[in-house]
Amino acid sequence: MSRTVESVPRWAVATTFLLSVIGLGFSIYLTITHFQPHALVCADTGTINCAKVTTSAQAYFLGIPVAVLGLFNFVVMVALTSPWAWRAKNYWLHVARFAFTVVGMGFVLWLIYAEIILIGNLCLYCTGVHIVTFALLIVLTRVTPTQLGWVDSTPLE
Amino acid sequence: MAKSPANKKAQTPAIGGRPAGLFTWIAVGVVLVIVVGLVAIKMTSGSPAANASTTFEAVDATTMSQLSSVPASVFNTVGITSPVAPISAPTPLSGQPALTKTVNGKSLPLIQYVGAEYCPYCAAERWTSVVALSRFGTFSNLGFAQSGATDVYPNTKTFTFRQSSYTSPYIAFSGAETFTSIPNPATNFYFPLQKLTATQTALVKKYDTMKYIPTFTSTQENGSIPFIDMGNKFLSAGASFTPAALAGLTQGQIASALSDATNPVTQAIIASANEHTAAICVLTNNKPAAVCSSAGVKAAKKAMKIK
Repeated sequence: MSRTVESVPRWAVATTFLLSVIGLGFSIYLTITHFQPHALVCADTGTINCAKVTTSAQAYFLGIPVAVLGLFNFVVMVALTSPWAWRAKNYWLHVARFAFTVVGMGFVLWLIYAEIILIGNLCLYCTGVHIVTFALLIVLTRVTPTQLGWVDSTPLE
Repeated sequence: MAKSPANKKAQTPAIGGRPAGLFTWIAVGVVLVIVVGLVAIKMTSGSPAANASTTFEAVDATTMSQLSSVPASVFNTVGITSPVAPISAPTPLSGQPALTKTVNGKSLPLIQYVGAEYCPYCAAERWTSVVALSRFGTFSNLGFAQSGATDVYPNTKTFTFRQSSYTSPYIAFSGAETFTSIPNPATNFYFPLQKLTATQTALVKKYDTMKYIPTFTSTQENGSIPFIDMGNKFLSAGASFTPAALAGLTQGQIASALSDATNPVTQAIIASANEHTAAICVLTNNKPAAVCSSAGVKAAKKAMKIK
């Protein structure tokens, strides 16, 4: 089946790539501190308590450290949001980028639930990842539907 | 590349003619509703009933006996060997005035412990302290405790010094537990327990700092608990071994295994206790000799470069 892929604005390419790199930075740090907890620099009293979050039962998903899953997510996202990937004509590559972000946001919502309701503390670096993922979702929901022809790109009169 | 799609008509038919921003508004709306909802639930939900005056359960005679009667062969066999849970030794301190306490008219070197019941690192450290100190004297009214249920290494089984007393012809001991392990919703922390005296506060402010604790990597770690000042000759900040070693074990299981030198948990407790014992022997001028000249303590002294 032939599907057309529209080009997207430069700002979207630059923004998504930058956000993915920032997310990758956060997730690298969280992965390092998962395996070397002493390297974690964060408040440990009050609402902000990174160690309490990163060592909680919710820090694992199906036995895999969430930090490692985050690292995997952002390695993939850096590749999918690179200018080369944006230029690709493969329709499914762009669908994959969008799907990855939507699934990532869903996972982020679960983690926010875990932090607020189950653990009762927030992790600053995790929140950084959450904000980056949310920002990626905003940008991609703005450009991907148009890029893939899911919506009418004509400005509303 | 990239030109504003607003200037280009999509070449594939739009689905239902939906505007380009619709997906974004839906996504933002859904995320915000969920997050705001979670915060609202958290803020309006009834907090679990918390009572600052927790019940106190004294340690039973069997457990006390297991803590205070660890076979000499176990101390000597283990030495400072703890391959599963690596241990860290107290830090020597020099050039400071001796920390003492007058007990029955006699000035004795004072060992000051500062910790909290919620603290999992304190939970691990108390095993080391109780076993080491029991070689020099006797605890009474030690209580069962466990670290905070929602903190790191949750529910680590341990003891509390909150109502305990300690007698020894060689040393004095003072244990201060600053907080319970019961969360206080009003402060988003724990209910306070024992307030530090001015002297205890001064010790923490001066010695529980990056200046004297070499393992501290930033001033943010100043004041960390557990903190132990051994007569101003040795300092210990943080747990001697990871609380993870105690995960899932009860006090009874841990204490009853203290006679097994091959048990990894026992090795962590005994190896760290030997190092604490070696430090205490400096304060007591190597008394009692049976303890301070034992093979296990000698091994610790050698590792810690204590003569």
